Amino acid sequence: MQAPALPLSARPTGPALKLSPLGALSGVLLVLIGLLLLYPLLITLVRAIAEAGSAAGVGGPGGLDTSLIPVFINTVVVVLAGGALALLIGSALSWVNERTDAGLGALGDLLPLAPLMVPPIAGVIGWVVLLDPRAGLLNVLVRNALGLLGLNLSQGPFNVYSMLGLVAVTSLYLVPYVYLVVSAALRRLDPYLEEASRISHAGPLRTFLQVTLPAIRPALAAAGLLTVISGVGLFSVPVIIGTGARIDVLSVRIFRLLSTTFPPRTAEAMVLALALLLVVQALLVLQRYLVRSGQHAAVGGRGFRASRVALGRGRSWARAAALAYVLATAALPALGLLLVSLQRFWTPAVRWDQLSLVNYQFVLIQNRDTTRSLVTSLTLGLVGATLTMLIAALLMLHSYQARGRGRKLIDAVTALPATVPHTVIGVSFLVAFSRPPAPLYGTVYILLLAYLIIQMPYAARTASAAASDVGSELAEASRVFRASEQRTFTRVLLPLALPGLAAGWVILFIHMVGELTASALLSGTSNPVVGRVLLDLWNNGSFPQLTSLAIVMSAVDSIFVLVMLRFTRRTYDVTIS
Amino acid sequence: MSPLALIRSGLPAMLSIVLLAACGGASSAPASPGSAGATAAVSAKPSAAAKAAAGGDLQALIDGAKKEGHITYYSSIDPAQQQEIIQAFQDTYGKDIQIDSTRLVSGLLVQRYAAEASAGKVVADVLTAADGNFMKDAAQKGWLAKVDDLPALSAWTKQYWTGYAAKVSVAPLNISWNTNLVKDADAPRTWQALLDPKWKGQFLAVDPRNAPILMAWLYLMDQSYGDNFLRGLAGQNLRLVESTVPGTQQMAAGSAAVLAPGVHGSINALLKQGAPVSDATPSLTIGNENWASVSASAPHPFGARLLMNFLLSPKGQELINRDVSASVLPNIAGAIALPKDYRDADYAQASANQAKLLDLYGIH
Repeated sequence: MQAPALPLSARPTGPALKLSPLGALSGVLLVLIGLLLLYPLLITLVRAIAEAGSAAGVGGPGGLDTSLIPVFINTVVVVLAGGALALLIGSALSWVNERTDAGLGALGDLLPLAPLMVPPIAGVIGWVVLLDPRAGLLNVLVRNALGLLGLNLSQGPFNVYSMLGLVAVTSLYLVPYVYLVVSAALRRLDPYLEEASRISHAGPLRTFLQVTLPAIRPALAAAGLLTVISGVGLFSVPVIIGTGARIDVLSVRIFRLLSTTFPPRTAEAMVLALALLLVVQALLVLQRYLVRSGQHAAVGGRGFRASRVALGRGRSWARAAALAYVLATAALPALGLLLVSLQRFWTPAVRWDQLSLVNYQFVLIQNRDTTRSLVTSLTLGLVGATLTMLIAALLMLHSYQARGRGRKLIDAVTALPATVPHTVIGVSFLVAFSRPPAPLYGTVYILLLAYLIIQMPYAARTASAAASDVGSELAEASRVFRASEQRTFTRVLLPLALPGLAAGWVILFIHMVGELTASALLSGTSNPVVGRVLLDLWNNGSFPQLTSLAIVMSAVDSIFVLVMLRFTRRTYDVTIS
Repeated sequence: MSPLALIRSGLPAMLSIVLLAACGGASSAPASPGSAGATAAVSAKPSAAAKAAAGGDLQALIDGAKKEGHITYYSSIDPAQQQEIIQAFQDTYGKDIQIDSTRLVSGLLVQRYAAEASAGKVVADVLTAADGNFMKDAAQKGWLAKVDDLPALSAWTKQYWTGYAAKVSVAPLNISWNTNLVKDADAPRTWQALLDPKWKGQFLAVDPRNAPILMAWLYLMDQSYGDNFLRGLAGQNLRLVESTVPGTQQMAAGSAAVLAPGVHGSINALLKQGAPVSDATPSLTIGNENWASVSASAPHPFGARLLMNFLLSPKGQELINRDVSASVLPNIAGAIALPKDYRDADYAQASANQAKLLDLYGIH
């Protein structure tokens, strides 16, 4: 009698690719992300080509002409200088806070995030209010003080409308990315290297430069790349300071091509976007070359208590410097905003008896646009950040544990949206999702999807840094004990990566809540969000109303940041002990 | 984590999505994508509304608007005036007609309108923008409704009615200054006075790339005073601002002494707050010409026509123009008179010469 034939499912599988459920899910998500980015771009490209045939020739003034050369140069200078400054300050701050005994604990974790707590466009305006060469509140104070010493200046001494001002404020917005990535890496760093260095009589600074920094090189590279990616797409800083300083950068040039002319010069804008795409792709290749598995310190399987470098006399200086920096970057612009929000019109000659809350009344009660936008933005932030971070975590953790299988593909696909300026994403979404098969224009979903695709690269970078720090030892140990892939993922990898992921969630949330560039094109009267309303107030309202809405948003953002940081710390403690 | 725990941890996310859906549903109600049935209803309404308007039947428009209950108004008019217009409309026709207005600078506003219209997703019922060329284009593309027989049009100056759009206000470009920094005797009241070396580094200018009217102003200056005039202005180390309103506020704060060109509307709002500002209108000038129109696929056609009618009525004209701009209707209380040498802006020539003008002005 013949043995019964084995059912198909029980037959031993051949040499074909074995796809676990998690791997399959990763694949599906990757395809969806790719589609979400490429489908709108394709539709827009087709329409742009179709329209370019009938519209005026490409290469008109303000588009693809020789005026582009200084624009490119400016962009490079601002991004590199701002990014380098941010890397320096961010790394130093995170080292002081995480690895030395000058740490400020919870306050130290919170404060570097403070610049994020004010919506971007309003934060920049806060700096304009403070450092306008003539009318800036801070400048007036300094001039008064100098006057007491006999030095009389008619303007300045600080001028925010300069390359220095542009670079400085840009770096302010880039420091938080660096801080979060680097401090997460430092937290996970096994201190045996540093202890060995100190036993060999190396001072704290030498230890920092020759041992600690090299040990967290992947995190530094990830942070550096993050600053370039966000620097290049940064819009709110150059549109306000750059215009005043007569320094044009690419993001503003593209925005002008799409928003301030009718018909929009989509074809030219797309060409510029492609140029950006090439540059960022090149940088990604560079990062992959720098990060090689196993050459950096990861979380060891041994338990340890992170000991801190004693700074001795330098301790109070380091503490004071860190505190001063952080207060200056967060408290000062917020105070400037607050003061202007209580005035009837911006003036450095403050009439203390005439301050009032009338602007808050307008923004919180009278104006339907602003009240509805607050609710919509917050909900979008909560849902969007969670969804994006989950997807990124799944993709990264799985790929790192699958020994880099498909990692190149995942890196490429998740980084791709960052190479497309937010304005182009906004326009492409507008064009593609106003027609079948997915008519989403005017709803909150088009915003949700746009935010998801815009923030995916940042989520991926953060998840990538978190995942690379979780070494393969623990996952292997888990597999030795025959835990399934899903179980390893949820009980070992995810909890270990959680601090980094949670920190990333905070940035995602704050960015989505205050998003400006794509929202300016996708948000309308039926789906108002705070970013778009702030832009409207900047263009047509008044400084005091703009600043009062900004203060309200900042208060809300701050609460979320505080709650999130508390949660992050507690989880971390539970996992490590 | 057990599957149950996984679901439990996913519950907040799922709840949030449900909440978002509910929130999204509510907020997108005014502009919800149409199903086949709804689309049919919408396409039937404009013809009914058009018939009512054609019949000069104001009451039918009012009744229809009340039934619709909502109007979406895209406008580049000064926000304070906007509020007054909406308030007066609701005082006249009742608060059960809700008006959602979107205020943006003209350039951004027409961009949004055009993007929505070309995508087939019209949100705005009525559009008011300072861009006559856009109105022409939009009419050609079939985006605007031909509301020839609105009741208020019978008293309208026919010269300012294209069949699709009406010129509802004219705000001449002028020069403004900070009275704390500028003595009355020194104040620049003509364009040539702007070349005074006193204003070097003290001069705020609105980026001409942001609005066609500003390009047209550059062209007028070049034609009237020659290339050297623009070069002279560039030599004043202009600081550029994105648009008139924040520019005026910065000037009022003392960030600069002079702003040019601007409009009286922005100054008026600040004057009411007690800011130290003043302005003067040179006799040779062009102006922001605001055109109003009704969307062909307006989601609320009755409301749209009723609002448009209101804007064209003497009361509406008074509210739009009081203290700040000129009306094309005679004898409107509070409307200003246009200066002696007011010209029509030559957008075509300005656009053709854009590269040269920007170069002379020092913008690259």
